This record gives sequence, C-alpha cells and structure tokens, in this order.
Amino acid sequence: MSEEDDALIAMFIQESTEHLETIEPDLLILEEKGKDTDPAIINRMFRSVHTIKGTSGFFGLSNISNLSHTMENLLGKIRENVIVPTSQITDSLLAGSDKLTQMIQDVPNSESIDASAEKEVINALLEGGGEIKPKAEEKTEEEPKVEEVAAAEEKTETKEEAETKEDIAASSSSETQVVTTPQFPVLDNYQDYVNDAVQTGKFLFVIDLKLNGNNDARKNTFKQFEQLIGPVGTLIATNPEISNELNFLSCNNDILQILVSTVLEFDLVCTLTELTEKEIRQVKIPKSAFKKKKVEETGSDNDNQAVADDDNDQEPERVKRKLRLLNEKLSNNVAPGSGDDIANAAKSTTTKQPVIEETLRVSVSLLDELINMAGELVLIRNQLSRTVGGSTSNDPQAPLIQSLDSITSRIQAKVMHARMQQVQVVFSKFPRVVRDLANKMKKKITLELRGGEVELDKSVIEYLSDPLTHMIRNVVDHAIELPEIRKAAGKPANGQVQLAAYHENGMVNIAMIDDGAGIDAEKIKSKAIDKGLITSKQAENMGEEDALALIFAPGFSMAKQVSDVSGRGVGMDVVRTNIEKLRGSVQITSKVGAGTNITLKLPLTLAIIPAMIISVRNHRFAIPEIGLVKIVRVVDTELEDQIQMVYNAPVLRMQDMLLPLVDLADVLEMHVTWPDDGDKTERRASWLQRQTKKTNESQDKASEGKDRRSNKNKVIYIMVINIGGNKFGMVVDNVLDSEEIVVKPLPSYFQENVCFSATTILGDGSVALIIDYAGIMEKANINFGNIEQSELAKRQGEMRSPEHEKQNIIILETGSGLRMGILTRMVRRVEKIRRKDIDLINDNHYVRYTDKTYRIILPGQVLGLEFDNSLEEINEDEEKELCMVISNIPGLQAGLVFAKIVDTMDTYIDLDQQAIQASGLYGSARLDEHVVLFPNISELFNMVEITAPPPESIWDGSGLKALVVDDTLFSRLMTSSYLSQADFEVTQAKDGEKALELLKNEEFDLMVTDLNMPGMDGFELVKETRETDNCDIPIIATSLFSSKALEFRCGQAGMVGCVPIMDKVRLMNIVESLKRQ
Amino acid sequence: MLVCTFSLGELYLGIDIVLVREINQSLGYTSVPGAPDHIRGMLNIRGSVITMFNLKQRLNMVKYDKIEEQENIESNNDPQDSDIKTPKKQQQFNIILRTKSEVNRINRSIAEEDCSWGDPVGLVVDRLGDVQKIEDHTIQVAPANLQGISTAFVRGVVEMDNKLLLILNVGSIFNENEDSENS
Repeated sequence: MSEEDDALIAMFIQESTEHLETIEPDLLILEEKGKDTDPAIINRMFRSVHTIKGTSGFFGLSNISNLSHTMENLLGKIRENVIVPTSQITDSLLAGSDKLTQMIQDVPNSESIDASAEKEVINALLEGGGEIKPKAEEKTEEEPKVEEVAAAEEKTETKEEAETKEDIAASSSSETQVVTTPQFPVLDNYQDYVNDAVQTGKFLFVIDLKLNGNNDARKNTFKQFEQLIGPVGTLIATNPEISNELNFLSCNNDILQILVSTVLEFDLVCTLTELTEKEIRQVKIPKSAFKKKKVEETGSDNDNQAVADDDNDQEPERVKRKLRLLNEKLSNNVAPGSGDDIANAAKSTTTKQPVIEETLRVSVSLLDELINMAGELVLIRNQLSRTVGGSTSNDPQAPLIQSLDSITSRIQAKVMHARMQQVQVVFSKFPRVVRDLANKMKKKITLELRGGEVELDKSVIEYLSDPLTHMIRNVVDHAIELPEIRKAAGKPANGQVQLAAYHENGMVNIAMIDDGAGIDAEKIKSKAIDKGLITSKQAENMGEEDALALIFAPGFSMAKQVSDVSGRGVGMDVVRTNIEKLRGSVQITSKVGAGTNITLKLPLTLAIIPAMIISVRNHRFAIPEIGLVKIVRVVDTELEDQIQMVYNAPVLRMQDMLLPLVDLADVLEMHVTWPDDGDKTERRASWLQRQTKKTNESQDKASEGKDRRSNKNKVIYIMVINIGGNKFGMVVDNVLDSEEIVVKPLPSYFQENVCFSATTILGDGSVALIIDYAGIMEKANINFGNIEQSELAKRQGEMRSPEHEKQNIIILETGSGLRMGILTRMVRRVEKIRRKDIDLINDNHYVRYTDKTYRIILPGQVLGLEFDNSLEEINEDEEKELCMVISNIPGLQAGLVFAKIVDTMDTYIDLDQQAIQASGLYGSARLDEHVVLFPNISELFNMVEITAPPPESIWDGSGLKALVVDDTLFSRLMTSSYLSQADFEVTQAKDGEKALELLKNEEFDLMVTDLNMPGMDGFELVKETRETDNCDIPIIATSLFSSKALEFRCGQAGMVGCVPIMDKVRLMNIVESLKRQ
Repeated sequence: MLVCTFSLGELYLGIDIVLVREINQSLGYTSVPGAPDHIRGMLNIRGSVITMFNLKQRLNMVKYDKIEEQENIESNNDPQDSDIKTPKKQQQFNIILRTKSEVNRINRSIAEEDCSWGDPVGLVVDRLGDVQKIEDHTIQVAPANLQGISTAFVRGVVEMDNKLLLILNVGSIFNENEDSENS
C-alpha cells in the first residue's frame, strides 16, 4: 500500500507541477488583459488550482489544499466578474502559485512551509471584494450566476429562487436518479446549481439542522445558519421546504434538511456549522446530472466552458483521466469528502474532446537501455555488412543487409528521438522571470519566444536552465535601459528581448537578442584591466569579439552597482562553463546603442557526439570534434621548419601565434607502460627528442640526414584544440576516422585518470577511450597566460600577475636566434666587441676591453637552452662583431655575449613563469610576436661560478626572514634574489593586502616594500603593519624614483630607508647597517 | 555450492558460480594507459564496457613463473598493428562477472558479502575447468602461504582428486585497496 501511495503522490507532484506550469503564463495573460481576459483562460486556471486542491486534500496535504483553496476562491470571484483582476490580484496569485510550487516540490515537508502570508493577502483581497460588490449587484439582474455566489445580503433573493426550485423538486420527487442521498435532494431539480457547482468546483452538502423549541426559536436557528453559510456558499433548498416563516414546526423529527452549495470542503463545513460529521453529508453529483448540464451548455452557446474545451491544451485532461482511473480503482480507500471531489473534477472532463495524441510515461532508464541496445544493433549491423560486404554485389543477401541497414539506422534515430524534449520546457519560465525582474527594475520589456518546439536531448535541456536564466537576468538588468532613457534615445519604451531556438549546421542555436544599450567593448576592456583580468597590452591587441567575450570571464561583472538581480560578478561565467560542459559554445556580438546578441551553440544530444578517431602507438582514442579547431599534417621532413623548440617545449608556428604542443603518447605515459620495441617506438618516442637534437646540432648534417632517411615519409598529425579560448596542439600518429560515437561512462577504476572523460564503442565493437582536453592540458602542465588562467592562479595564490609598470628593456639575440630581454636598469653598458678580442684562458672566455679584462659567458649556453659555439668557431670571421652586456652588479667584471641587439623598448611585460622554466631564468614573455626570455643575470653568473668580490659575503642574513612586497613581478623577484643571496629566507607578496595577511600569521625580521602599489600603497602598508605582531619590523622602502623628499617622508613613516628599485648596493648597505645594530 | 573452476598456470582456482554471468574467449581488449598492471583493459560485451582484470597479475603470480611472465609482457605489450590483441600462445578466457545488482536478484547475502565492484568487471584466465559441486564443510582454511598468493585473495581450499582447488575471495580481487604484495 505504501508503495502505491508513493506512486500516487509522485503522480500528484507531476500532475500538479504541470498545472502550475500552465497557471503561471495564464496569470501573466490575466495581468496583461485584465477583465478582458478570455474566460477560457480563467477557467483553465480555476480548474488547475481546483485539481491541486482536490488531490492534495485527498492525500491529506492540508497546507497545499488550503492555499489552493484560497486561490481558487479568488479565481472564482474573478471568473464571475465579482472581482476585477488587478495587478495586485495577479501578484497575489503569482505569489500563491510560487508557494504552491515550492510546497509541491517538497511534498514531505509541505506541511511545515508557511503559506499564511500568501493566504492572508488573497483573503484580504477576497474580503476587499466587498467594495467591488455593489458592482456585482448591479449585474445580478442580467446574470443569475453572479447572484448564486453572491454574499449574504442577497440571500433572500436566493432563497426565493431556491424555493421555486423546491416546488419543482416536490413535484418530481419520485425520480430516483440520485445516487448517494436518499429522498433529498433530487439534483435534477437544481440543475443550475449543479452545473455551477461542477464548473466552479463547489460541493453540495445536505445538512441536517436540528430545530428545537417554538417557531421563533426554530426560525432563529435557521437564520443563524443562513448567516453562517451565506458568505461561503448558497443555500439551495430545504426539506421540508420553508415556504413561509410559519411552517418551521412542520419539520419531521425536528430536523430540517438543507441543501447547500459551497466552496468549503467537508471538514471545513463541519467546523463552520459546528455540526457533527453525521449531520452533514456530501452529495455526489451523478454523471447523469452532469451530462444534462453539458447538453444545456452546448445548447446555450454563450457558455465559456465550450470555448474552453476547444482551445484547451490536452495535458491536464490526460492527467485527469489517468487520475480518475486510479481513483476508481482506489475508491474503496478514498476519504469521503475529497475523493468525491476528484471524482467530480474527473467527471467534469470526461466529455472533453478526445485526446489527439496518446502519450505514455516512460522512465529514462528504460530509454537509456533502449538506446544502448540500439547502439549494439548498429554495431552488429556494421560487423555484418563488413562480413558480407566483401562478396559480390549480386549476393542474394545484399538486399537483406540493405534493409537491415536502413531499419537499424531508423531505430537508432527514433530511440534517440525519444529522449528529446522541446526547448519550450525551459523557455516557458522566462516570461515570468522577465516580468518580475522588469517590474522590480521599473523597466518595460517584451519577451518574445521563438522556436520553442526545437528539440534537444533531455540532459542538454536540464543543463540549459541555469545559463539561460543568468542571461535573461543580465539582459533585464544591464542591457535594457529604463523607459525614459530608451525614449530619449529614440527607441520604443518597451524593450524587446527575443529568445529564439533554431537549427544550424547540425547544432541547435539558442539566440538571445535584445535591443538594449549594447556592450561597449572598450569599457569592457578597461574594466577587465582594472580587475586585473588582462593587461593593457593584451587589451590593445584584443579584437572586439574577444573583448566582448570577457564578460564570460570569471570574476567579471559589468553591473555598476550590485543589485540582487545580477551583478555579483558570478553568473556570466556560469553561462560559458555550463555551455562548454555541454560541449557547446557561446558567441556574442553587440552594437552600442542597438543591442546585443548572445548565441549559444549546443549539440543536439550528449549521448552521441561527433568525434575523430585517432591513433597513438596503435591505440585508438576518440577525441570530441567540439573544441577541435583543425588538424595540421606535418611531414617528418618539414618538422624542423614548422616546429620550434623553446627550451624543451615544442611549439608549432601557426599564423600569428606559437602553439604549444603536447605529445599525446607522452602525456598518456605510453612509453613507460609499453617498453620500446624497435623502430616504431624509436620514431614515436623520440620525435621531440630528435627535434631538440636537431635544434642543438643544426650543424650536424650527417646525423640529421641519417635521421631523415630512417623516417622518410613519416607523418605526424597535430590536432589543434581550443578549450575556453586557449589553443594547444596535440600530436598524434594517425587520424583514422570521423564517427558519431555513443558516450559511455568511464569505469570507476580509471576515473582518477584526468586524461579520459568517458568510453565509447567503435564501429568494430572494440572499446575506445574518449580524451578529455582539459585533463590533457592539466597533465601536460600547459599553462596559459590568459584571463582564466590568471584568475585561477590568483585563486591559488600563485605569484603570477600581469605587470602594471612599464619596464625599459634591451632585447638581444643569441647566435642561434634566441631572444632575451634584459632590464636596462640592470645594465651598466652594452659594448660592441669583436671576435678577435676574445681569448680563451683555462676553458673560460675573456675579453679585453678598455684596459680591463672581462670574463664573458653565453647566456643561452649557461641556461642550457642551446648549444652556442659562436665563441669557439675558428673559421669565424675574426672581425665579426658581437655585443657584450655588462651588468651593473658591483664588483663583477663579467659580461654576457649576444650576437646582436634587436631593440630597446619601454613596455609592459606579461611575464610567464610557467611556460619555460630553467634556473637562471625569470620567465618568458611574448613581445612583438617573439618569445623573449628574461634571464636572471646575477644567477647566471653564479651558475658559472662568477661571483662578485667579497663585499657580498658580509651580507649575511642567514636564519632571518624577509618579506618582499612589490606589485611589479620583476622588481619583486630582483629584490628577493638580492636578499636570498644574502641568505635571507624570503617570502614574497604581490600587494599590501597579501603582505598584511602574511604579517599577521608569521614573524619577519625585515620587510622591503614598494611604495607605489595599487590598492594599498607602501605608506599605508607601513601604517597597517604597526598594528600587527610585526610592529617592530624594520622596513625598507623601494621606489622607482628616489628623492630627498621621499626619503624624508619614509623616515617620517618610520621606515629605515628608501632605495631605488633594484639598487642592490644601497639596499644591502641598509640591510648591513641594520644587522650591525 | 557450485563452483566455476579454471586454471591459471599451474593453479587450480574456482569462484562461486552465482557470481559468473558468462564466459567467452578473448576478444579485443582496449588497454588503458596509466592503469595498473593487473588491469588488462576494457572489453565490450553487448554494449556495456567491462573492465577486465588480469588475474595472474592481480594475484602477483608473475614473479613465480618466468615463462608466464614472458608471456604476459608480450601480451601486454602486444600487437603493433591493431588494437585488438590476439594472444599468440594460447587463447585465454574471459570470465565476466555479474554486477552487484544482478547478484542481488539471486542471492542478497552473496551480493553484500562478495560484490565489491560497482562497474561490470571480468577476469582473464588461462584455461577453463568444470563446474564442481562443493560441500561447504569440505572447504578448509587456506594455508598461510600458497605459492606466494596473498591469503586475502583466497577464501578456502578444497582437496579434489589429488588437486588443490583454491576458492577465490572475489571481493578482495576487485577491491583496489587490497594489497597484493604481502604474501
């Protein structure tokens, strides 16, 4: 029984949800059209609420039942034109329907949900209906219906009418059509009331009123009863009939039977009349009575019901029928009152037009099973056609195979189709969202929905709701202007928002088009710069579309003020994340003043995706086509031209960019698992290594030639992949096929492997793994210096931030063309030297220059990035000019030798510390389409054991902790390296806030801070520092420009000194003086 | 209880037949890069992806049998021209096990006790034996050291026609946390 109950409740929830879904748009229409609303719509709402009330009552869900009852009352009044619908009324009803939705979604706890506020509002409106009542009274003459439900004042009139009815009843009392009540009443005599009751969902009760005492007392009892029942129902008739006030004494057994029509339910009537349950009986409205009514209705054409029948949607009818069937089955267990109620509701629909299309509820798991089997069928078909395919075309089996082929395809298509749902499912909630938001923001917005019939897979539909809601909110909040502003701009006050779904290129597009203010790409850029999402250098080079796409970046919000609608800086990134999760993409175009168009491109289904089948070391993998930009085929002999090595990271030259490459076999560690076996492995395992070799030994023609011979005609494929705007290339052996693959879950044993997202079964029946791009990127350690990554890095507290200060740098090129950048500030001078000036002494190179001898090194060689032998080459032109960079490290008589100076420039450097890592290297950056490495000169010298004479050794900070605060990565790294060379344990902070955080948790012996920082500057930081445990910490300030005035200010602020940034000597002198103290 | 028997090298092993869904001959395994050695790969059985465990590796038998080891590496390292592996020496067999819910429909207590796996799994074995009827009382506790196989994997031992039949504790075999090293 309990299982049965659960099933019934589940059905109730589903049914009620469907009803509520229709109520909402209807209420919106009601609000819009007011009293001109099509009565059919009001009827529909009334019936929906009524059904919910009835069914919830049946389950004893009194909270739901009560609220829906209250709503039903109000709707009843509206329907009878007693109350004119105002926006206040629709608001209250919408609030009510929201509450109902809430309760129905959480049925087990619905009793504890407080709906009193909603009920109060509606009840207040119902009572306030009194003010409207006079209007209703005017109408009573023409419209008897109004009068039936009219309030107490009218009851005399009603009674009179009831009496006439009773006359008829008496005359035909022999009729036996009444099912449940003996003798009284004969419903046929009160056809109007019965019809009304059926239509409005009222109940008929026979109440036994005990009358005692003399006629006056009896009369009083009756009057009291009348007054009691008047406001909530209608007294239809009495038995015996009270034709005049004198015959109260004639009642049998002193009992007056009264037929009442009321909106109250059984138990409520009991409470109201303070009578026992025995004294009240509910009258079933028999089918026969109802049928008559129907005939009458169709006869009198002006009834609303008939209209409602025609344009009503079929859904509630179907559900009701089902419920009725169930109800009949269970009728034995049904509680007396509400069960009948459902029966009534059900009967009221039996005469509706037949349902045109039969539908059936099928569980998703069954569908999935079917899809699975259909997939298997396809495989078998493929295998079969392969076996038979070899034979001749006049094979008698050929036609059979052909029909099998076509029917299999059709089965698969149909089964897939069974999972499809209309976009309408998601769309339908937006009119309400837009309405509510627009009202709140005092905007006028018309939402147009198109293409609701476009179908998408159920799983896609489910994921779509959130992103679309965010988008809609943003449009209402940001895009559409206030009516006055719109008018001033010459646009209609009503903002137009269009939400359209349509098919395109095998994908479904969902476009949201508004005619609002549009998005200013420049504003977006400056905002993004403010937020540190991009650097101004990036902004300069950024196209309009890319800039607009920034609104989807995490942490970006365009709202000038944070409202509760949107603008919390989350939201739009959710859109892109969710859509990309669905293997879809987001496009945005906008024109300032004219509007914005955001288009979501979605796959039809998640269960089947188009994929490329590739192979790596003879293992096949599937890679999703979404995200795959293109495939580059590189012949082995061209490898060298197309693929460059930056340190040991291979990159592919592609148009305007360098594409980082990942060898799939490497990432999957396929060499390790499968030991080398001969030539193939050699080729496979080593193309990268060979590449490195080639670069290093570009002179070694012989070895290269050999290399080429052994690998002639070998081809590799590079899958260019775009994931969230980041592009990288994945190197594979072979591209085999493009297939629509069925996605199957990854067995739990492999779920730790980030490289795979799922499995699939290929055409030949074997299993293949589906590659997860994001996982590959993670595994391969590719880090992109773009907005998302920097956001991520920020979150993880990594020190990697765009530069905010311009740096003057010299760019130099080494003998093998490697570009390096050195800060001018670190260079004492750059001198031209000639090859012949170089001497080799004890394996080290020296240059005589201006009477001094300098030890020289080749930076690329020291870094291990290249094999630069330009110093050793004997046949090299002795007069060849090289250039030597002499650093300003004091006491160091050494220089770096480069082939030439490329440029000097003042620029922002977006230093990437992840892409290329080596000791002696700060990182790399892209400048003018070249990768430029930034060496740490003093470390370089250290690496070849060139150290400046002693002074350094006296700066001994061992065992001491220093905190370096600087927003500029370069100066921060420099300052840190000075201190760590003096054996300080250095902690870095990129801004004041970060530094304070550290200071609160840790004790430091020294702090060196930049004065000029965004947010909290150096002086503020010093002030704040005094509040922490580190209040006595000596602080040294660094500044781009040092002046007496500044030094004085620093002194005042309690700092021990102020030195120009990167002035190692002065900094360390101060440190030393501190030490001595 | 009915026991489905099979052999692995010289070992005579068996598992409760309730746990066995079907047995077939080796098809194409799809190996998974980065997966532990004892996972042979994945197999497609009528649309569901089965994770196949190499029982020999799982029981850590390899180091006790040089020849077997050779064979294993070869098959692991297998064919170069196709994803589908066809072992050269001998055809191996796949014992596909029932999933927990399938076992549950037959015998709830066995499902609770033995089925540690959530996804469909199977075992790769060398040769198949008969189905043997074993009286519960004839099952003895496994000796402490059984050719180097961890006792965690063995539920008990039955003497049959001068042979020793090891009844496997299937649950621990598919439980990745079980340590196969301590023997």
